[in-house]
Amino acid sequence: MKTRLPRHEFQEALTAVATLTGGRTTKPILGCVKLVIDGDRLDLSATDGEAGLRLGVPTLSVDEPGQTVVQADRLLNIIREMADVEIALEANDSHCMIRGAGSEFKIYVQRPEDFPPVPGFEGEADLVVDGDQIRRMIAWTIYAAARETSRFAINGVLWEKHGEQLFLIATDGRRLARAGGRVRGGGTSDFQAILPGKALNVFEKVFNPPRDADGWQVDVKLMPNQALLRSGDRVLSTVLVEGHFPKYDDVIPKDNDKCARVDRLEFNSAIRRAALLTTEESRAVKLSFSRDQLVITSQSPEQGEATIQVPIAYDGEPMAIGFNPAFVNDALRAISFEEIHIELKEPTRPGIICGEDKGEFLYVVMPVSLSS
Amino acid sequence: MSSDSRHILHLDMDAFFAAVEQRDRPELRGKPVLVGGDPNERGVVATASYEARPYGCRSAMPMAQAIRLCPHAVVLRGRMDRYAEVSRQMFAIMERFTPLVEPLSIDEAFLDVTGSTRLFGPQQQIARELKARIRAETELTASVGVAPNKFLAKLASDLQKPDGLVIVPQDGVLTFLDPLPIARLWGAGQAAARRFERLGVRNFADLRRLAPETLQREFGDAGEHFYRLVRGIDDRPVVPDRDAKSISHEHTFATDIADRAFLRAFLLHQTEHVAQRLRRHDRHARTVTVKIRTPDFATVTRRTTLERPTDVTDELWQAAASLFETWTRQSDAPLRLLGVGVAQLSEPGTEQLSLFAQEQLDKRRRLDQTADQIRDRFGKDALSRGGGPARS
Repeated sequence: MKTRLPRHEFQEALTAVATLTGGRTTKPILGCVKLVIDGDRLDLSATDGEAGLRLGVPTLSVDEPGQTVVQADRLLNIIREMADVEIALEANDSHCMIRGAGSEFKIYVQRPEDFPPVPGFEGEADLVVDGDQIRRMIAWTIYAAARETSRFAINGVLWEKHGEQLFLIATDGRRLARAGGRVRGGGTSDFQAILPGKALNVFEKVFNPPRDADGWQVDVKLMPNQALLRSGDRVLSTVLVEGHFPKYDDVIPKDNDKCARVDRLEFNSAIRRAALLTTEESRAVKLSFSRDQLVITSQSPEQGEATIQVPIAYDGEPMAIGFNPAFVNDALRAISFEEIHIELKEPTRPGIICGEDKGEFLYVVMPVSLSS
Repeated sequence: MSSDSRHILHLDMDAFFAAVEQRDRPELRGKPVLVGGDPNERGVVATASYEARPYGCRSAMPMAQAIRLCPHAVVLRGRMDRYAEVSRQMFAIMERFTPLVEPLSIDEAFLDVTGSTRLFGPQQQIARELKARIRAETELTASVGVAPNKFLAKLASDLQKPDGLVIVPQDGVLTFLDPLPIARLWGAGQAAARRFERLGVRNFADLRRLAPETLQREFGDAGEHFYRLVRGIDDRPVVPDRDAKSISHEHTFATDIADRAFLRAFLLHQTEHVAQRLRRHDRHARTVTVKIRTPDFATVTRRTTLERPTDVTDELWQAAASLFETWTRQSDAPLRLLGVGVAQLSEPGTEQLSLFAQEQLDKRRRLDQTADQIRDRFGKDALSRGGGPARS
């Protein structure tokens, strides 16, 4: 294999790859990237055993097609430190040479046959969505996913297609986030699949809007145990989370009759301030709603108390409810509406945070009981 | 540190469940009464009234067997909520004499009255007064042991049941201990009994003559424990649950037990009891420990930390059961001791409610509440005395 590459693009591709290869692994080959030239493009692929990534880099010239497998972090560090606009890459069975003006690196390679297969996107998409929209939907939900999967906590985000609607839902058993959007195209059948949080984090880092396009789209293909996401020449593959997503519709309150409207940033800041005086054991702030006023209080037995006032629009009955401040702020940070709605019923029933349109974004958060 | 000046009481109600029944239902008085589980479901006797005991009926015995021994006995399933109510009454009386009351079970407690003598007179008088108050207010009798430490007090309370009062003076500890049969030694099960027999040890005096090295060689870590006990040394403080850093229950079986299903059931009872004590003192626990001792005296403790502190029996039990099952996957050794404990106790304070399982959790809580009382068909008696737990 022998080629010349634009260094900047190559570095970008390797940075994307590093989101998968950077983790700790017991298998050295999973820390590697496979480079393949078969035509006039360089294809990179990497996998952490559960998710895989394929992407391409245009070449400046190809003298000899071929393939090689190199340690990804090492290659990225080299490429990052080189100042050249273009670099030369040459590989044989034992090593890979990287050359720039005045520098030359020789790194040892692994056998391409040992590299696990990383699937490409083949056939028709089951779903086509707007790129910006799906990025937003992921950002609005992923923080609510659990770190580990257990009975009511899912380490992943449910993708649910209903006709022309796509919903993403995540829950850790104590709060639940749902984002909705329009489907742009793809197959006609509805589906449900849980994509792992880890793969979606990689998606967020790697699937950015292309510089040269106004609208961009993401194609999704579902297979029995696997999902593929494609944008341009980038393909992310991931295993699906096994297990049943809890029946989330049942826990979305339908009759929360106490509604307040509040400025999102102001609310976010007030919660942050009140959270300064909560303790590890009792992460709770108390929200006391009365006519057009919200008072957020917190107390820490050893440290002190905080009282924060926030102007709101509220004309319901006075009511107080406790929340884990982190749960509230996770949502407030993720979304971008100027004004949000808070809908409550009772101090022990779930509360809702949403914007104008619940179909677009809905967050259900279970309170903290303030029994004592 | 010297513990010379302590005055410890051990109070143990006499045939508690049966006595409550006989009090509430005069027609049962003077008759053999068995309170316990369903004989058709392998239930065991929780309490046998004193009238039933001459027939050989004992607590922890299979109910079916007890009925065969004493066919005319009145068999009752027990009203745990009623017993819990009486228990609360009795603990309230104890707490009038000292704040240092450490519950051992529904009808058994240690009291440290060292600081109460100025107010209530010498420890003997406190013990008499306590018994009198309990009799007057609950119409039930208790047996009390008075001694310089817990170990001796517990031995003493058991010597003159029912309605006993045994006082072990500081300068009479060895005179008290020496003639006692070695089977009364705390922590000595059947394996130890066999070794004692081989060593010619029949009573405490015999055991005291053994060199510490011999004890160490024969019993490992327990040897040191025995060495101290036969000399009447026991520094364990009386710790009320509200001050406790941990709450635990452990039991040394009279015979080594290999039956995993039985041990699991036993552990559940212990867990229920620990959970009940947690709730009684309004504490939540963050860690759960299971303690296991095999016949070779090797002691294993396994600990797990819960996602959040709880006082719900079911949540504590899931943790304990999982620890126990992990251990049983690695070993099929019989057990001589099994125990469960909780630690990292905190005040309940705030609790993050759950989106999906809250209803179930609330239900479990209500269940716990209604019968915090519902101690199992094993009563405390079955857990702590007799020939060990019954297996049928």
